[in-house]
Amino acid sequence: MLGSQMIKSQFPILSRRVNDKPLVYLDNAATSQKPQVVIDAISNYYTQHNSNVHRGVHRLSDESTRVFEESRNSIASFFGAESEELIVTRNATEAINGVAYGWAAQNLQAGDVIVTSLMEHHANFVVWQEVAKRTGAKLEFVGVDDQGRLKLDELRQKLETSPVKLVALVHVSNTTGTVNPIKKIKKIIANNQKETPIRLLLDGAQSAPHMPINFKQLDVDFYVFSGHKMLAPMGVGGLLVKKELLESGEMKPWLFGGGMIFSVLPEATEYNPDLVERFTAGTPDVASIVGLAAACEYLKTLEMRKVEQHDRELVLYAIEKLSRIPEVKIIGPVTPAQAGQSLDRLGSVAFIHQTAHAHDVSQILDSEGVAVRSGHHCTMPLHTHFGWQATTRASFSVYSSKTDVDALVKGLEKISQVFK
Amino acid sequence: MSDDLYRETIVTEARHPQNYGPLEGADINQSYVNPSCGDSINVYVKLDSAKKKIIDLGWEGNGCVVSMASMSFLSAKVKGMSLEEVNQLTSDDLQRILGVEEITPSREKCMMMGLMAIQKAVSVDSSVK
Repeated sequence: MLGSQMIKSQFPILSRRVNDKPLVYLDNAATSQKPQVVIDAISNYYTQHNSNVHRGVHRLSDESTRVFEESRNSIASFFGAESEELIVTRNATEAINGVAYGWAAQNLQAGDVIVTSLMEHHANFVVWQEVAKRTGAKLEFVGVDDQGRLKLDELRQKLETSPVKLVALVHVSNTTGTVNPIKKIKKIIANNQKETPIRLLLDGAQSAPHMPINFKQLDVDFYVFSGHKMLAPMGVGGLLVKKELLESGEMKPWLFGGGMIFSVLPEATEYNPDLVERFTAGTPDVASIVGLAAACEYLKTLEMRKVEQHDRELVLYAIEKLSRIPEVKIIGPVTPAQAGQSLDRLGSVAFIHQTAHAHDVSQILDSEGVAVRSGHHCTMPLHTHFGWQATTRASFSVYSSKTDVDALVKGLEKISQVFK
Repeated sequence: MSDDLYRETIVTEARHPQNYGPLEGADINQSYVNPSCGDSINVYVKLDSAKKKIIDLGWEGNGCVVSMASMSFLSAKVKGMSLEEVNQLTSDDLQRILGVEEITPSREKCMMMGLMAIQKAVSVDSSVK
């Protein structure tokens, strides 16, 4: 069962003590811990197979190439994408920058409009500010309502009235936990498609770890994720791009050099027609890709459907427990968008403590062994919009349990004593 | 470490800070922001006629217990100090003032905010002269 001692025991770091208390790790939206199978996969790669991929004839190079390709296939399959649709990056931020260089710089002109929202992580915000600066495109923002949901009417209005070429939105907010209604958003975009298609990018950094993702069914143009937030090592993530954009050349390579070429002559270079190779310049981080594949396999065994259900239960449990503490004000959705629906929130519960500053909250929780994050969580525009100076966030993973939430609540009681 | 930081004296100091509020007739008004958390401090400094010494100081700010208590203790300490002495104050001095033996790098930034604001204020003034 998810959150059980059995699952916890598969993550060696969780048996550590902090300040002489058992570690209660509730900072998973920042990064998740790694199971032994992922650590072993990386270690096994370096102890058994390490060699550079491709073009090597010797045994190790052949093994390394095989492991690399199998891992890529396994990651793509986890996301319901074709292997060619996966461009491996360092993380979601680099993936979004990839769209900026490989797509936006090639396709946007002065006067075009990019739409993003006020609930974005800086990764999906600052990049577009910079693209707008460089291309002369205009950047517009969709606002959020009091519970931290996107104002879809604003999105509709912008699409109806402006020459929008790209909509870049977060799938699940890292601050409010809001799950954006992608089907509705896609419908609004479809109703406003013009001669030049409007492309949709989803920042999946916080959705990939918490819910089943099927790129084909999701039917968006770009989807980005970070491996380290979904039990894989740091330094590896991905950009999924619809195959037709790659085949038509609308999305172009943005990193050049070895590996991505077909032939190189002093006069000109022809890029590799193989889509995977064309977007893999330089030596890839094979060990991390192997680690990410192991994480995907591990999550597949747990079943993402169950991971989502488990996460949902924890979010509801945390909301119920935290809302009983008078000093705590939960931010983000706490009641379903429509009666009868499940709450459109996943991954985390962030809050404002009315008497203690977020840093003090997380420091005192740390003294109880509870790890949470405080600050603006890289969503300064959202914090500014609501006038929050800083918030405290507890976020979950497959090993998180109701007992962990209880420890958080107990820690918050200590804060009430210090700040009585 | 955190029990050390959340002693009653420190929490009380942050709750009832000394020299809080704008200072009328201040020679310098300087703000300082910690970009990692959005905390901010605004200091008002009055100098002696030779512009060598702080004779009065007021401040306002939003922040955690550590930044507010540290700024409060500091506001009392620097009155009467020469600008040279103020510029020589360090993180160790603040730890001594707060009575904290150990501090993590992230909380050190909170503790240092007030000192950074004051040092920035007096350095701006020196450069003007």
